[in-house]
Amino acid sequence: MSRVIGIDLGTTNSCVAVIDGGKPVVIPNAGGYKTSPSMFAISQDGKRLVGHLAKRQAITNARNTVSASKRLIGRRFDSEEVQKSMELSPFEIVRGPNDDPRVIIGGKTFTCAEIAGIILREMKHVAEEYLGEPVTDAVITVPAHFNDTQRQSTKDAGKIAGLNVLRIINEPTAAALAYGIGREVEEKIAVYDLGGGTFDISIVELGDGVVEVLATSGDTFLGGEDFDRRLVDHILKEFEAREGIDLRGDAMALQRLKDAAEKAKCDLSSVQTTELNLPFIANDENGPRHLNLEIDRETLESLAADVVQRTTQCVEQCLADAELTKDLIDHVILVGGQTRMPLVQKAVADYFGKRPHRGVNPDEVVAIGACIQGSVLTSHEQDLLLLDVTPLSLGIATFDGHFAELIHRNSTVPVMKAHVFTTTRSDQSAVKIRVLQGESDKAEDNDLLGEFVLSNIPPAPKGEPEIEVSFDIDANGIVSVSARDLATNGEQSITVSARGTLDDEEIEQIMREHEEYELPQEK
Amino acid sequence: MQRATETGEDDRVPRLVPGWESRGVNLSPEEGFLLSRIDGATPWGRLREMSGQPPAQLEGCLERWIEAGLVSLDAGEESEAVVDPGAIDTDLDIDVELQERILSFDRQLDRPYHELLGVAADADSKTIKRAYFKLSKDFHPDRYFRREIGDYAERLDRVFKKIALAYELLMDPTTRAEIAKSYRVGSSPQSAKVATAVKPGDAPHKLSKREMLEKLRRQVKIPDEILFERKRRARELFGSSRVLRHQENWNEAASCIRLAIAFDPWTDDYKEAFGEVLANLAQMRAEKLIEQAMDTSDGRSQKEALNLLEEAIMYRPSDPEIQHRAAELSMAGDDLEQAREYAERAVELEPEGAVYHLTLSKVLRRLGLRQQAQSVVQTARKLDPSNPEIQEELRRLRQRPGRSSGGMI
Repeated sequence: MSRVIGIDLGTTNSCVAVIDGGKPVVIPNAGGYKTSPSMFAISQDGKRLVGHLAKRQAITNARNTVSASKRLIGRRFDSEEVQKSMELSPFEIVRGPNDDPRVIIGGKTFTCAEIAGIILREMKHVAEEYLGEPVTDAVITVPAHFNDTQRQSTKDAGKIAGLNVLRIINEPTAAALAYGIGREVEEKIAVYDLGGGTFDISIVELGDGVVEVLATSGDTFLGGEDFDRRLVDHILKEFEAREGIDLRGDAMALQRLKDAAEKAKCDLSSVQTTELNLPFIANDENGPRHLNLEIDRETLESLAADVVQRTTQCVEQCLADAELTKDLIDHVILVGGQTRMPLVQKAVADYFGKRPHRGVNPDEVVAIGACIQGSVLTSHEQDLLLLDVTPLSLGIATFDGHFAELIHRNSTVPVMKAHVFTTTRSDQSAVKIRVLQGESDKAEDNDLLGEFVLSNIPPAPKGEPEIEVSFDIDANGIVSVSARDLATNGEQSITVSARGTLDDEEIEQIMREHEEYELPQEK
Repeated sequence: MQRATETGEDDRVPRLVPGWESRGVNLSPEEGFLLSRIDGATPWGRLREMSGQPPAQLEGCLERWIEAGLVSLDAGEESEAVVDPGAIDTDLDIDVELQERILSFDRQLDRPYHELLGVAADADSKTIKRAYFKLSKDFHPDRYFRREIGDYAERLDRVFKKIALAYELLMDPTTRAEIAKSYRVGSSPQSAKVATAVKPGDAPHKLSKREMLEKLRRQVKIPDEILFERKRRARELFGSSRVLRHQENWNEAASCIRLAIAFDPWTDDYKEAFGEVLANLAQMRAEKLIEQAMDTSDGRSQKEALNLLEEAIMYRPSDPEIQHRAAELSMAGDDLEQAREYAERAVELEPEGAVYHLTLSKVLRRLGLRQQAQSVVQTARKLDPSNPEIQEELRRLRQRPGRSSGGMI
């Protein structure tokens, strides 16, 4: 049987790992890098570029280079997150036919699943080159708080990439698996995952080869890019004050600035001050302008302080969900490139009262965990079991617009929960079951996963019929919901998690289309 | 000693077969009670004690239920070893030994939560967690990912969900305390024996059956999960009865609600509905009796018809129509005193019924009480001035007795 790869599909960078010779190995791409930028571009001459090749030309071709598309995947066009992304992205984002955000580059419209698929296919290629054999099975990671649509869209992306996705697992969970493999001791760990685009925190318990996720929490719109954006804003203001020129409308200048800011941010993790040098950044009647700016760590930290503060709020929430206090945590693991920032490390150490564990590489640990889970599932050589949880609460909408929760977030899967509901009108012959996911008491604030109608309820006074609604999540995370009239045993049910933003036909079509393009490889 | 085995020591555990159909099962209230106590945890000996009925009769009952596929019987403490050999499939990618474990676990999911996890009732949370982790490694569906395991996939899913539930409930101090409380007095075999302290051949025979039932009902505190299961069954039954009531199938509706009450005697709604159904049942029975009576009255035996009506009156004592028909029948049979009684009751029940007054008047006239008859028929005319029969009766009463009484010298 072919081997299972683990892919960390990140907002800014992606990483692939595999079990080789009994040990997890992070696979370098042809350029020797262990991570590849999650970027896709169409060059001026119509070539499709992925990873480093895409990133290299991003400055000169900003309008046709997609980055951070993970922020858009599985979301609705009208959502706050998509609107926010539109302001920041040099490429064009439009409303798709399913109300999903789509991206236009090189004059062609792409769905977000398609772009993720292109990046995943690149990671698949990297693994195949390294292993010298074809790869089809993969475990892909997503942020812990990704909802069902986002997960399904990621699965669709895998399909587009020609991958058979065995499981979608949470990034912090994967990190915990990578940490926990081979450890015999019983301990509770906190995984603090601050990546390019998202923040996740998970509390995990280890013991006897079992990794049990106690609770998980996070923020889909909080990550390294927020740091970059703060810095870019700061630089833009400085430049405008100095030169009287607003660079916001200049896509190429913005892209150069973003790159420089990101680099400066990374530099400031190891040095106290750094210098930004962007010659010929702008031009006006007075000739070309250059950007020359010195930035120190303190400035960056003051710009980012509230972002770091927001992460600790999530940590509080997560500890409360796990019914633990911070002093009961044995170890803290840092995941994600942004945790290299001294300010973040200090904040975490101060909060937990202990220094974070340094044994794992924050950029690679997630992909390693993913390939471990792939091996755990298929090879049975690993005596390890992951008890994963459902990240968001599931329930139905009641007649008065409230959310009636059936499965609480952080319930171990597989799980089944049932509850009896009744009618609100006399002789009501049908009830509509609206399946929702989210944490708000108000139905409308949660995500609608699907809906169906249970009909043929025999006439009865209101409040008398008894409709048992049951929710079932299987080990693969597939949610099925059924409603049964206890009087007649009449039943209706749906499987709700099979919905991404694309249907099967669209996926097929995209896959056919992609076969025509041979992507140039990293050199 | 023989006696002791009969009354208390039978360890076999009857359980309800899932998906059993309550309709068409006719049960006496005692049988209903017994059936409702079958919870898959209480051994047969205890159940017999609870019912307070003669053992021989109960054995017959159990046999009938087993035959009807309503109840199955576990072999008590040794039941873990009892596994249907037909369910073992050596072609599957799962050890036979493990198959047996899964099967036996799956059959005993109704056990108390701590027993499911294989820990003591007072185990600390660390022990519970270890036990849960260990069981998870055997029963979590991921351990069999992509393996050919046939039906076992479904069983594993069920078993793991139940284990996870047990773990969740026992790790939460609040739910755990509730569960512990319910077991303390509860119906786990050992503790129940202590709690009831009913010795064979002793006290129970001095108590009436009903007292005994009441006493046991008070003593046996039911564990929450069994209570929940019972309430769920009761709800289901009550739901079925709703449909039956809608179809006016009163007989089966009554049978369903009776069972529902047996499962859940705490919900007053069921009792209320039961009262209504019984009333309807009586109504139906009465109608049938009247119909029969009318058929019979044409023939030789008016007496028989009257008996039927008399029974109908028992079901519907306040229905003037039955009284009226009985009066007519009695009059036709020349039992005038009886006829008067019925007719008077009909008028009493429905003072506005002109026809009832008319019949009473006829009876009174034939009894020779013409003055009383006249006043009654006057009332009838006031109520229904256009009825020709009433006018005819009035005319008759106004005539002098004339020739017919001429013989009285």
